[in-house]
Amino acid sequence: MSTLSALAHVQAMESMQAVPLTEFRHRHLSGRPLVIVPLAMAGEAGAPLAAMVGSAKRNGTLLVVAQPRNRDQRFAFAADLGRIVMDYIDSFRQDRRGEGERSRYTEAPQILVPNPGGVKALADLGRMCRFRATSGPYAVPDVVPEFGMWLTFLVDWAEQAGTSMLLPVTEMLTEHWATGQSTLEDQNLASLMAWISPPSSLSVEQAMADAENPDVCPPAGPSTSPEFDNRDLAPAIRRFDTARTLGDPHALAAAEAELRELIAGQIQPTWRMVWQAISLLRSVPEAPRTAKRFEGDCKAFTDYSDYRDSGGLPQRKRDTAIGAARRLGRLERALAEFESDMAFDDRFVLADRRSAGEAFDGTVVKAEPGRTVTTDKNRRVPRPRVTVRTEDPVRLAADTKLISPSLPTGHKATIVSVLSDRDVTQITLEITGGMGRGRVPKQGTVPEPGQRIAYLPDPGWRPAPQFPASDATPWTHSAAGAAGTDPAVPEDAAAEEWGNED
Amino acid sequence: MRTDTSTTPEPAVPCPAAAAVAATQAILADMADGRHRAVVVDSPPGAGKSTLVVRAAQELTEGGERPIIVAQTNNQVDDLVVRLAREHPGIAVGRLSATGYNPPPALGALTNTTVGRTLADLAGCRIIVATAAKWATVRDATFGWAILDEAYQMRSDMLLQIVERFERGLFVGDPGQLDPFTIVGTERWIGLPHDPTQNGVSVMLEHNRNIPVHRLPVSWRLPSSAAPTIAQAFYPFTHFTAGTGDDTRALEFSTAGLARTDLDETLVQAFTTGWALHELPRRHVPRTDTQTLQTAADLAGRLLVRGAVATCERHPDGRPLKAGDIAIGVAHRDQADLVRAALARTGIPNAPGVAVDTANRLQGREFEVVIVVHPLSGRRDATAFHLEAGRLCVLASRHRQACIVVAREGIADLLDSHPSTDPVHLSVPAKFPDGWEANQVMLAKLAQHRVAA
Repeated sequence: MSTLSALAHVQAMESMQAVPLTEFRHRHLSGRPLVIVPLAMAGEAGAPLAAMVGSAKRNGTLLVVAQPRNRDQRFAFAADLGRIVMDYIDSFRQDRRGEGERSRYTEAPQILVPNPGGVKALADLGRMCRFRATSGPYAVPDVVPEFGMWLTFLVDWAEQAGTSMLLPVTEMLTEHWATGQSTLEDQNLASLMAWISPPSSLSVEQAMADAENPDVCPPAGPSTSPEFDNRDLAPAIRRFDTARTLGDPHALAAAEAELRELIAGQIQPTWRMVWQAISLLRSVPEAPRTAKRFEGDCKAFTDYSDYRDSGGLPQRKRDTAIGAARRLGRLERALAEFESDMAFDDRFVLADRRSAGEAFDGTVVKAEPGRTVTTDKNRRVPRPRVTVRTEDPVRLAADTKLISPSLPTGHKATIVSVLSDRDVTQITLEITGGMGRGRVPKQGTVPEPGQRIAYLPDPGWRPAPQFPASDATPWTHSAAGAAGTDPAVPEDAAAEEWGNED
Repeated sequence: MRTDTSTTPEPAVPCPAAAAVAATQAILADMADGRHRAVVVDSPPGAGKSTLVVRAAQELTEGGERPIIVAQTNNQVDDLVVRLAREHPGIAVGRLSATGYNPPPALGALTNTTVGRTLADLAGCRIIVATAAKWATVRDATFGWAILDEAYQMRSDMLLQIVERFERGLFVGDPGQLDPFTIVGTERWIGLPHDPTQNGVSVMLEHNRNIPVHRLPVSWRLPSSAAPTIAQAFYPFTHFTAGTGDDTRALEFSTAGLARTDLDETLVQAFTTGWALHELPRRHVPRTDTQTLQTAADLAGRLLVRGAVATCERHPDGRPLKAGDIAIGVAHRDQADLVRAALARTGIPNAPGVAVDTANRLQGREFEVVIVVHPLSGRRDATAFHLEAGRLCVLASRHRQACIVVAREGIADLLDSHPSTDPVHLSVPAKFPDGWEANQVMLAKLAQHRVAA
């Protein structure tokens, strides 16, 4: 935690009120997001219990698995949820612009879940569904594997920083607001909302006390409150089982209705709270560079959509050596770019970076606007130098490439020298880009003495790392002799007998 | 770091020099033996890793090979090029570099060295040296042998980018130092043998059984006072000894002490025993605690003011210590900044010449006296970052003469109330040394050299 964000948390604690950490919302917020509140059964990994799903606050659909240990019911649930989600996703596969390679959908779906646990629950559901066969023994409806593959795609994509197709609401809230509670407590949607926007009749303290009482604010999932499980859920499931064994249609319908009502009571408060959080987030202006990142989402969505249309295979259980290395490179790159984008757009985030010495803001004290150099190709190019005086604790070294939010886009500079004297630092920069094509820099592209200016490191362009071909894993990363499979990875470790013997 | 089950046992030889020669011979013999695609050499701190790299490169060249050398940073590449070219004037050495690289003066003065942007520029060179990042941009060339220096600091995904450039590899590195890391927080690869965030050597060994793993048995850097403790704490399965005897190295003051007796007491302890723990009163403080950092700076300043003469095998008649012979090691970059400011505040003219840096940046460097700000000093909790064995290992193994640790009282209690709580994952071998245990060993040793401030 940086000094400034720590300060914001302390401030929030002292004033008992959430403090904004950023000037903007750095995540795209769709005009028509799909909210899913998943609940899972305790004690069995990835056994869904219920989900509430819908793209408007007023028309949420509640889906319940009456006996979560029954796999037929489980996949019937997956099929129902899958149909709703796939209808939603398909509604974005309509409007396409551009030709050939550049052709892509203009919008992308956005699924919002209450908390990071919700993403994990969808990942488990995707893993459960995507390999299922639609024919032969234990066949599932066609939509199930399709849904599983799309869920897996969304979960994988959500690992990349700055993306917006699948997001936990708590993460969007904590990116913008600092509260007086710990990071762990911030993952509780109810107490987070208590800090940011307590119900009108309550103080933050009262709202927080309510948020921690599972009878007033049931947990936002995926796990339910243990007390609810023992007191209400287990007996209700038992009654359902009994009714089913007896084959009494009347009792069965009654037991099912009772379960739905119980679960609705647990899930609806969270449902309402997610929509309340969404409208709060809508009131925060969106950062300028978010639109550009959203184009990346649209591209990924289009690519995967085309891959599915061409009958692509489900995602692997585990990454291959080359796939993992490629993914790591992509994730690191995206994180660096997202952090840079946020600081570029947002004064608050920039201040945070400045306090850590990773950016600076100062006044131009000296300028050599007319300086030129001759390149290797014997061309005279403008390379003006300016000296910036700052009181920030700069920790950037010479040769660092910089960009500036205070000058026209395309402006690039390199640090020539950094001279620190007590609390004042003088940084000499050479401007290397964004001055137009002429021999004389365009008006307004070179900072003038007295001008206030901020700089931060350029995440820059780097060529994508080149790895060996996917089918030729080299000897360092694969065991020799084994045809195709890597004996160090037990491929059948997750193999399971599958049936309904319970 | 990895568990040590595959290390080839080396015969016990009483004389350090003879043991080192025998180890080198065994490594070269395994390289000459055509059966192994790779040879791994684990090297404790200061065990002559660079010497081995230069020697192996020269042997390969003599055998008609055209080896490449992969290092991790530009400084490491420059140092290796200078050493190779000076020790073997008859071999043409190529330095592959990115555009915009300015060779340091020492490199520019060499006649048998060529700097080039592409392999084509270095067609006449017998040995080509570059960083891993630069090698990753080279296409369509394959060499018989690669020597990978500091291989434990190279991530597995980087190894994957350069592995097609060579047929066989000599992996040299120190398994006890800081592991490579990623800023991306994902758990998806935990337990996979090809986890891209692991170091390249572990991944290569995981997929290739029967690769000979050697170790260098002698630390030429660490004094005889330090080697046993460092070996016990950080290399519990691979013993090594100091290359010098008890009376080869010594530190003496050139002036008598006056005033500042607290600092002097610590310095005397360090000068006579090779270790000192300068313990400040117990307090929970932020890592930027002025008192701790100022004390570290004052100790360095005091050492410079009083003047010290160091005797060692290189300077048997003694040599006065200069600011550049002293380093102050910390855990965080903001601490380093504050220590530099504190050094400036001491008003001693040559104090700013003292090297101040974080463990990550001190890796691979060597000093006469090192002052360490203990990573756990004054903390309320022991996080994985502050407990990491590699971090303490780097800090406590940079010195040739003495190591002074500055800490607040209470680290032992902190360790006792924070046992390791890292989650255990399937298929992930237990990590040795364990940070918690390594810290306990170091503390037990330092307790014998404690000076209360």
